[in-house]
Amino acid sequence: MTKKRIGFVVQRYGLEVSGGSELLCRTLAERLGKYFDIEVLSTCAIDHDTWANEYPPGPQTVNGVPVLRFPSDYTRDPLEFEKFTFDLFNERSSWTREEEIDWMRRQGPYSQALFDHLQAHKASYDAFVFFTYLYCTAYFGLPPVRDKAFLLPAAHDEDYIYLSIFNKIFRDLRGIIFLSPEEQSLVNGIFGNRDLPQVVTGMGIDVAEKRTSVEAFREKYNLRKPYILSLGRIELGKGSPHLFHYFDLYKKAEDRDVQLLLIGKSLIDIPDRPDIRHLGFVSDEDKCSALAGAEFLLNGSFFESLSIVIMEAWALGVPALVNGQCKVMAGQCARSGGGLWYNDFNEFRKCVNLLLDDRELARKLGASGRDFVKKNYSWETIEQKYASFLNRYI
Amino acid sequence: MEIPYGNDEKPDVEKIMFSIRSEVVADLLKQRRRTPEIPEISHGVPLPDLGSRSRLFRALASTPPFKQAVFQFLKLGRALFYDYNKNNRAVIKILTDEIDRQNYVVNYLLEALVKNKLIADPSVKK
Repeated sequence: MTKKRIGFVVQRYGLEVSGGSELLCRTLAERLGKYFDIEVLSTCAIDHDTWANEYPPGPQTVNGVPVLRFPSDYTRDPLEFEKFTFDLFNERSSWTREEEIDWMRRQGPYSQALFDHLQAHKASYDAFVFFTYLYCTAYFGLPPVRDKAFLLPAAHDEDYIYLSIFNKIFRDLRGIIFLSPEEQSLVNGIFGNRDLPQVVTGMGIDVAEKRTSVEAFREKYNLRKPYILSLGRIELGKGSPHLFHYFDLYKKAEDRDVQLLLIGKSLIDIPDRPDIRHLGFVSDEDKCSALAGAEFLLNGSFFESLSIVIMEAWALGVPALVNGQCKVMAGQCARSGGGLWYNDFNEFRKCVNLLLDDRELARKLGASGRDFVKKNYSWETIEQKYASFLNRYI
Repeated sequence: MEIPYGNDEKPDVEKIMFSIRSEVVADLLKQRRRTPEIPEISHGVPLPDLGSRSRLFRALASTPPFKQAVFQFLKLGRALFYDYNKNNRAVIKILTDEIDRQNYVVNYLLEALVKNKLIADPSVKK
């Protein structure tokens, strides 16, 4: 039987590209090939700040997946865009449709060649899956193929999602794929689109025995003290300054010899103090060892549509403490029994103390998280969810 | 703290969080008793005419996470509706001042008010 042909449309794609939804797109393209004939349609960009054309346009194969890239029509000046966005969202609470579209065009990446391709070759695809609602690729690419379009919005409760220009994108399409029940609830609440075909899926986590060597890791990075691990990009949007502030308050309030260990690329200044260590990028094996040796994983992000890192921690039996103002992460912890969440500093302080002092509780939380991931987020389970949903509605 | 572990395999994290919140509120109420003065109301979230006090109370008490906090405040803190009749702003302002940055209490209050359609949802842009 011939496989159905699906175009995965994403703002950027490649082994050099970082970013959660891009990684999800690539992983799914590689894994769902057994069910569908998948082709990725993307731009030539690697950097999401500028959308500069870095990959050559045209066809290429990435890890066995055919990719067709189109150049962006213009690049983005990140500072100018940041200023424009700040002015738009902070000076007023409503905007004209033209202003919103202007914002979207500046957001990028805008590739007329990609949009033309979608329109001209629509008939040769059985369906399209658009990854992330927030970029031009979905905003301009989806409407011409809406009767064949599925959107994986990766939506957060952020200012942008309330722009009126998104009403049509979220209402007039074939179906929606959510990463968490909280994301589904948010989107259904804003757009009143509960009647559309939709499914909550997620991303698979390899719970298979990961190679870890905590002692070697500690030795390599000269880590002698117990540490709390924060994993991922260090930036404003991930709540990092807030986390540093809370850690500072905690250390002033409690006489505890515990360090905050940061792993990931930093886009902001990190406080220069001996109890905060930043290792930057590390290998996958070091990352797993860092997780395995942590007292717990701390995720202070305000915006997630699904937190992969807390599930990676759970896969290794490590409990999590997350920012409760991110409903998605609090929901993940509540459903799994794998972690706690805080809404202010006093809760943060009590949660940290509890996780550091009550090792039996920490162990149980970690074990519960591991069971949850194993049961719900094995790749086999996740692939089946995507495949059965798409097969049903294509 | 007495930890409600739940069953053997899965800790009851909702109960643990409730215990933690209760401890936080109890700590704050202890602080409250040490400084009984009503803070000056300088600013706050303006509220519409909320009707009777009992209506507001029922609205607040119907939101589960806030329910216990409401009872604790009424029982121990007396501050929640302290200045209600004098100035509608007082309800939230007193909480804000008394509890400092205890956003969760204020958030629960706002959530309850929004849920019961007593105020417009401030997070939704028109």
